[in-house]
Amino acid sequence: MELASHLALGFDVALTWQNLAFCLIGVLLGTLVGVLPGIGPATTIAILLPITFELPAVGALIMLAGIYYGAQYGGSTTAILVNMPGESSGIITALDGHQMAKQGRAGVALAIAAIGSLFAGTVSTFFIAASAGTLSELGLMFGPAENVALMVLAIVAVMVMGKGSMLNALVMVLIGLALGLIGTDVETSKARYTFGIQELRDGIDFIPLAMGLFGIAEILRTLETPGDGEVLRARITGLWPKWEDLKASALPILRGTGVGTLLGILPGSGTLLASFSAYMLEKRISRTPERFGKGAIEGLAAPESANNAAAQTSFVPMLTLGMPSGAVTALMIGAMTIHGISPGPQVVTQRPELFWGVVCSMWIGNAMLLIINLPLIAIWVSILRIPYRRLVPAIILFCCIGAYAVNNSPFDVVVLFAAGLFGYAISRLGCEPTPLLLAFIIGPMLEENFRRAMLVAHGDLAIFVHKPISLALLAATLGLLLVTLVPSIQSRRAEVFKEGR
Amino acid sequence: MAVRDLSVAAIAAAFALILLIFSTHLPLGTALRMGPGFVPRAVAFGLIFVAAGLALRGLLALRRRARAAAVEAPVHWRGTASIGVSVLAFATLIQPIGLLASAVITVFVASLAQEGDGARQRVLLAGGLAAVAGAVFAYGLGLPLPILPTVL
Repeated sequence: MELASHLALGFDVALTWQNLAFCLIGVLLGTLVGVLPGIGPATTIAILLPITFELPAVGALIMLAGIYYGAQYGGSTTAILVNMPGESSGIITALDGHQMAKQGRAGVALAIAAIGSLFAGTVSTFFIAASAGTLSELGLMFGPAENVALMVLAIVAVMVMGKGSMLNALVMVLIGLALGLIGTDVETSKARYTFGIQELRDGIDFIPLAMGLFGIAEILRTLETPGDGEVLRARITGLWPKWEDLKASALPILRGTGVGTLLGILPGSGTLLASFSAYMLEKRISRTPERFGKGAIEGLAAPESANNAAAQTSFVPMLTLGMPSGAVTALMIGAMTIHGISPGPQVVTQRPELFWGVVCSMWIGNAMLLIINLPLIAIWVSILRIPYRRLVPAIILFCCIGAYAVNNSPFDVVVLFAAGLFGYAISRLGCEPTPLLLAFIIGPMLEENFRRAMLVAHGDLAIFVHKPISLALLAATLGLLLVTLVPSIQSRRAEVFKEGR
Repeated sequence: MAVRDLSVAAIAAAFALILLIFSTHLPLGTALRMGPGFVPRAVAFGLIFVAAGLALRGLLALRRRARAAAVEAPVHWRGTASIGVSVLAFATLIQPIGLLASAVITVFVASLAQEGDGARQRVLLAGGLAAVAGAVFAYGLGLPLPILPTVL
């Protein structure tokens, strides 16, 4: 069994005490930051990226993945206890989860969320392990033209799945591409848009950019809503769910996992689509749909499982094709590049210990969430009680030190400042930073591949439709664009984001 | 909505302008062998195109005098100013005066973003966080940061 030997290799790597420690630290830190109201997983990862610099590549990615799950679970905790989710998919969690907490069943809600997440994590880990080989083999057949088509698909998918206007998203993509141009041109070593500044010769570093766009900008946004969230005063008791609770949530967890696993692979879809679809599915097939929104345990179990499954399978395009499907995977790609790994299908064959180690640590990270995080719930709740005015300066200082530490360069802190203010401004204007960051990371690869494709094809654009894989990818892109223009889907998209607000 | 559309259009146009003005020395190249100036110009024209679309949408909305339905929270100027200054302060101070001193200043200025604490609490917070940052980053993680002032 090839799969078995792959998994054995993966667990060999993931179960070394070092990597277990990295995973644990990641999960704990991720929860610690993710639990803060209004801070989502992408922001958490951006803020915590600098602490992974000094680690070996495998350890860094394992820790980042751990941070991601921790942040997700921390976000769910906040959604359930304070009704202040940090990311859009947490809003679905809050619908019934917060109602359960109000009815004194906060402990059960938190436990079911963790159990559902672990089950979803187990299934989707196997799913990734089983599908990765095939996908990366497909990816190895990609030439420059196919790469260009895939990157265009990834960018369009993020534009379509984001909220707000498509024109705004397009502006963000183009600005991201423009910022990615800064630096020395790879082929001619001519300086582009460096304005004579020495630090810009290697381009803008993506860490201060991401920290500014997500971290600083998000903090400025949360300052607008005055008052700290009302934290549940009551002590959380009865963490262990009753048998009826488990029985009632078993099937929803199963269905949510299925929905999330499949929807997560789609580029750009992220976790919101998965948890929303799982919630709607449960409501539709329920014999008592009127209970939803009033503390129905199915309405918590299904989206939480879907959320986690999708979070996991969104790594599939990143790990096998090197293609980010959202802000989180874009950050991970950036982190891989820092560690000298060029993301792409060759990672599976050239660095099997990295690939399978990260996949297996995903499962371990999920298990840790249930075994370690849940009993620590009192700590997470006490963090929620720290006044925001004390937390903000701490996060700002952390971002400053992190940005400086990338290259020991004060210039990167200036980039952090500029990106933060710019991120706040565009978010006030109804634009999202995700397409910008994605385009910034993909941009240089896109240009390189495009220029290579043109060289191969003697300057003939028809190469993109002559190659079957590239044609299929471009057709999928076009289909995605057309589908969003269909009125019924447009109203559904509006519905998703109305519920997700 | 109109104001937002026009503002985004202006930002897009500004980026396009910068791209075009500073691309004069970058050769366009040919379709076969594209030069370093090809993609910048393509991005710039893309931006101009979208900016025109947004401006049109904004102007149409303006003519219909469509009022934005959702009333947004006002810009948090106090927070923006103090956090902006605190980050810039860190950038200018870290190398001359080191981590501990610049952390104290950064935290103190950033804490001014919100009301609720007195000066003593702010100073305590600044000192405490600076100590923690020094311990965690310089000793714990072993990052090569200047801890103490280098120019004395």
